[in-house]
Amino acid sequence: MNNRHNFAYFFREGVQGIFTHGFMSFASVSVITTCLVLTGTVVLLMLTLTGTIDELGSVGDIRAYVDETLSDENAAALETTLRAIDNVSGVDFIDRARGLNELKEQLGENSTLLDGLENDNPLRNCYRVWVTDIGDYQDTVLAVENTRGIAQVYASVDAVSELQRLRNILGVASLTFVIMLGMVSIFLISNTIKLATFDRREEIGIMKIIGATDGFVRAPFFIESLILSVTAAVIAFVLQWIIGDAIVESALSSLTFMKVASFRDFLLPYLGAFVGTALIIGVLGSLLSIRKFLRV
Amino acid sequence: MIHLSDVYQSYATGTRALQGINLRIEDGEFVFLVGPSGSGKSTIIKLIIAELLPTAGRVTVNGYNTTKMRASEVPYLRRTIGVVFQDFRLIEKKTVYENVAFAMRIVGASPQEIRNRVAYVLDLVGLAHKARRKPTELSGGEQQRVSIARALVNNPSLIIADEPTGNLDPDRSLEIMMLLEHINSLGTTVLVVTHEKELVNQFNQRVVAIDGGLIVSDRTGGYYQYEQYENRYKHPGESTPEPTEQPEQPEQPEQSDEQQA
Repeated sequence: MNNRHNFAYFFREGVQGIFTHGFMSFASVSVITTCLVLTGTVVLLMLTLTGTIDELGSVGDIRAYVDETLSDENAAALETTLRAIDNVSGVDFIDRARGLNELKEQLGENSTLLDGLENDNPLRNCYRVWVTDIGDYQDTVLAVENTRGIAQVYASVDAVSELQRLRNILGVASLTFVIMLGMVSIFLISNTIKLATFDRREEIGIMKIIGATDGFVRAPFFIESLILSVTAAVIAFVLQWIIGDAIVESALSSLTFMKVASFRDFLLPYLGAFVGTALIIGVLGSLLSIRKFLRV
Repeated sequence: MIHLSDVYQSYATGTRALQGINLRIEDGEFVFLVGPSGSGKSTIIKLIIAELLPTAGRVTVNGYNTTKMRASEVPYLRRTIGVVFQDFRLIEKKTVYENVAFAMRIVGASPQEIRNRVAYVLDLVGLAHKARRKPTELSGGEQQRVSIARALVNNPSLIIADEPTGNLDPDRSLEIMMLLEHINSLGTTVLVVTHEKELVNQFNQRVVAIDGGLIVSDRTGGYYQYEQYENRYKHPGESTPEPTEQPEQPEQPEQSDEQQA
């Protein structure tokens, strides 16, 4: 078979098919677009919620108090060791003088209670340690505790593990929702394409009887699905951008404690995921739907 | 060449469509396959184009043994056969030209080859002037001519016409049959499946009669001339028809470009 001559034919037939089956094409694009936008919005909300939980988790940062037998210089030198621990995202050294000032700030009007302690500061040098992933919070706390020169560690292990549990539940719920939406999408799309293919069953039958190979029959459908899928992905991407900006950000930004995931931070991953998913669903759906009509 | 050897065909419903068929059609022959509805004619066609595989026996068509060939070879067998259907099976959204050209695209012909060959076959079937029309704008006879042009366009060695005149009036039927005979005269083997006795009797060609899944007559000239067949299969109350006279050869259509078909 001369593929060079046929490719132009396949492409022309594929494009013609889109217009010939106008309503079905519209239905396919609409179904794919709707499912992608729904899934994309759920993912964006999930990112917002997990981001917020991670943010809340940082409230329970680790406080590591330095052994008072170490000199101030040696205490400051521990920073490098602490930074080297896995999952540590940041370290802040709070020397005794700064610790006292922070304590005074917390006490506010009552800070006078601490007057006179500047010359005989009873506080220890201290590190504030932040973690990257609260999922590994306990292990990080343990590593900090085991660091030579650290005398005592305070960490909100229980609170953080609760937040982690909440995040896991949200993660599983979101994943389940995304999978369910994906299955509904495939079901709807495969039915839509089946209807379009059913409409052309006679044409397929004629093609097969006069000697067309399965590949020749499939090619225009493949190109048609390819164009429809990419169109749906681009429309979904634009809609998702609008939704991400206008709805998610404006609605959730009033809830200041939430760390809103901005769609603009995920433009490329979203575009890739939308196009990839649309292609898989659209093209596979089309090729599978046509299969039974090829048995002539 | 078609060769059916001890072919049996049963369907899942239990129907035994063919019960030991032996049939050999040589290259260049013109053969009518006749018989009443349900006699097994369509089953033979389906076996020849490998739409069905025989329950038992062997079917060889143009060098392909359908019982042994791989599924991927079926399209290549079908490209050696041109099939004409009773209901024309044209694609309505395509023009006459595109319906015929379409068969050439399947085999990967170049645009130049397609232009030349389609113009030739449309001229052969007398429809060159209607190339840009849609099938729905044509009469039944003209649609059947398009179907024949499509069957011819890839220069197959065998044309199978399954009840090609079933939807046509007697005059158009005769025209189509004459066209098929003309195509045969250019070297293509033609197998015409029909149950139109009067039409068959106008041509002095080989007639294979089938009934109940068996070949009951195989001879040249005439449809119901085989006495044994007549006596065995005539309907109750029907008198035995007089032997049909040998028909005169119908007038051939104007022959042009004989070298290509």
